[in-house]
Amino acid sequence: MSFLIASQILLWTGLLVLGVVCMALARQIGVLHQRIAPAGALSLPQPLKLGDPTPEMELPGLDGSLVKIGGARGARSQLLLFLSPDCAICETLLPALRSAEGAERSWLDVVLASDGDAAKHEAFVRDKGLGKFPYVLSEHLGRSYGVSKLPYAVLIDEAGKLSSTGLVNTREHLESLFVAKETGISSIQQFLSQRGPRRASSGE
Amino acid sequence: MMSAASTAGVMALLAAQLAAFLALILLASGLHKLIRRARSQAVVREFAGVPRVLAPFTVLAVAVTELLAGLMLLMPAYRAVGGVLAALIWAAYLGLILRAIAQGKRDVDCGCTIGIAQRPLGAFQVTRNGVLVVMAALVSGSALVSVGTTADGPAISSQILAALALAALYGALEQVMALTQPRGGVLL
Repeated sequence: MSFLIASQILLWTGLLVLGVVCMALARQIGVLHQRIAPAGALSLPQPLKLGDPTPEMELPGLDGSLVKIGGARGARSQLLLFLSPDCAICETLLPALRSAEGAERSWLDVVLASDGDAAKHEAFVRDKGLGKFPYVLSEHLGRSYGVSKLPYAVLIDEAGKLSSTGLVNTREHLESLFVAKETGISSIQQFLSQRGPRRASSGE
Repeated sequence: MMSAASTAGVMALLAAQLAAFLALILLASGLHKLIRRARSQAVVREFAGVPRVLAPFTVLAVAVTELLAGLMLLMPAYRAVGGVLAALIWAAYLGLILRAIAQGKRDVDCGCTIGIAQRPLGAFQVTRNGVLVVMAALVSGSALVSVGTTADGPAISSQILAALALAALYGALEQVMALTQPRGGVLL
């Protein structure tokens, strides 16, 4: 038994060190998470303000079906993602878009939007496996939301009002639109200004 | 190959180490309730539904019960009773957690953590309390059929180290679960 207990003491000591290291690491991640400011999508000047009703449109999709954009949609929101086959960053965003569509499908419909030559976009959809997303081509749609840079996303809430918009280069930018809708905080500047006094008072 | 007597001795040693860990959790929890009375009283009012006038007595009773169960788990002669008491305490918490979830009150502070970290009640809290109930029952059952362990210095050292190591892992798990989960799950 003495050998057994000696080996147990050694193993428990090792496990204790491991546990303390894990706890410190997890604590550090939590602290870093609190200190790092969230990444937010950059909002560009646009004709519509946040909270404004969005124009209701019915546009033909690449597959020939009509896609309703904007307006009241019952219990579901709508994400318009403006992209282009020539936009390299748009391609890097596609995995995050698929992931977000899967995670948020209970309340969100995703529509891809662009303009230009239909054949080029059809090849893009085939090449990137985007067949499950409605895909519309409309210059008018882009102008309605003041899209000047890509990839650009517009989130329309259940009531058909503009919830959040921005230039989305990363997954964090894309998710920031959903967080903005959930929290009612429309911009990163507003978030930081609200957090500032709280952090100061808590001594962080 | 170990003999039956050796196997029973090892099992008794492991049960004693587990008992030391459970005792540490209960002692820390009981002391925390006595030190942080304001939070504990808010928890018994909002989470357990105890009337405001009874909240201070309830907190005191629960804290004393936890301390008693912890101390009994540390004493081999009372370990079986201490294990039963601990299992009942955690089973009661488990019932309250399941009730809160069923009532849709997932954001209520259950007082399940030593720190102030809060998160929606869910599978983690249910599983954790279920595991604690099972562990306490195992310790109690083992104490009833135990052949007894030696109480020499090395054996006691191994129990202390085991309790601290398991408590560190328990604390690490608490910290990890307190982190904000990424949208869509951690693997996406």
